[in-house]
Amino acid sequence: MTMRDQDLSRLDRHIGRLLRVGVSIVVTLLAVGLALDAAGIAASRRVLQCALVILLFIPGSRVVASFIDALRSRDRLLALSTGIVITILVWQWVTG
Amino acid sequence: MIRRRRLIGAVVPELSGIAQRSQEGVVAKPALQSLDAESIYDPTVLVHVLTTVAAGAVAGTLGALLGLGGGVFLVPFLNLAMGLPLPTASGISLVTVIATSSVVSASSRRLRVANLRLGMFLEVFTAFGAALGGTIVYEIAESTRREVFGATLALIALIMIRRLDKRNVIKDPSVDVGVFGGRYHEDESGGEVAYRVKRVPLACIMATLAGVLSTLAGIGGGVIKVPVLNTWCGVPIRVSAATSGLMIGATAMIGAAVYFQHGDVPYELAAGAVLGVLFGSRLGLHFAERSRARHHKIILASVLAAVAMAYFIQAQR
Repeated sequence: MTMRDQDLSRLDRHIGRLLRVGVSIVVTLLAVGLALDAAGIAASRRVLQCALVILLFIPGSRVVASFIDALRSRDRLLALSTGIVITILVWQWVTG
Repeated sequence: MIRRRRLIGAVVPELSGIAQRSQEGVVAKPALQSLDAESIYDPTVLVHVLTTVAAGAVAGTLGALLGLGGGVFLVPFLNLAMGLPLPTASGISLVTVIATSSVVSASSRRLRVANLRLGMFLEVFTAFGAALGGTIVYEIAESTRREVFGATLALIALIMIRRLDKRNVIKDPSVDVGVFGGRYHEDESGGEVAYRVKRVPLACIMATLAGVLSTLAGIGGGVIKVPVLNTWCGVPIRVSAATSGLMIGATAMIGAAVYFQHGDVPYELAAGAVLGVLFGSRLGLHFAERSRARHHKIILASVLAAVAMAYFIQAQR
């Protein structure tokens, strides 16, 4: 393992916080969106769309966070792996 | 296409536009689709959304009991019980996999155990497999997709029964663990342990297969990667599960992109399923701490085998 312990724990904290905040926002927006929809308010679609888009990009942002941390800690294998995964994710979302 | 439209229209008339748009290619990318119906203000749609919430909760509970994402239970329910087409059921399921992965991976305890370097290295292959699955998923016949899904469920049932839960730990944490190995604090022994990763090429092949099945079947793929890492690659079961949990979100993101762009993810049902699965996952973890895992595995493996059989029978019609 080339990544130092303090790097790993810092990365752990960043990723954990990122995921928790992201999911909390998504859950709140989904609940609000469904409630608005049930009330017949047209804006609900935008709220649900926004929630799902955030949800879909949480894993992507998580990989990007790992990529940045890998560059900082000079972990070439992790940087290369996350870089390729990001490329595939972007390619898939752009080209379908 | 016509059959799909009929299927949706018969059970969920308000959703019939999903398949229609998907078929006619009206929804060009990037297409994040919503229901054609006015909203769940319509009581019929509301019932379907509530049913999806309940289905998500049950799938999440069962999934958490077994340490899975729940997609293997959600897809058959949405497809067989609610009559949604397999692509729509798979698309919704992949969105719930992302939610489950995000929650499970947020646990600092799991993050400490997970092997980020191994996970991301294997994710390269899984992501490639998922993208590969995305290129063929709309090209293959519905009956073939049913057979693939049935075979996947049967495989999962078999793996569930045979899972060995090998410890694979080295008591001396100072040993050289190689490029992909690691160390972590093991609760059972109360100290730090190490492990080495073996048969990396095999792990890469299985990770690719897991990616293909993730997109085709609407599952996270952890059910394949966890036993492979644990049984053949020398990774302790807790590390395997935590590492897989980190990976499946990115994998599902690739498959979800394909279904979104074909208009197969209705917002309201996806929202309901996500809320249900998140609630169910917490419930499942609560039950999992209080009951015997072996009994669950046997019962749920039997359920999966029965559902797999139903898919094979349907595929032959």
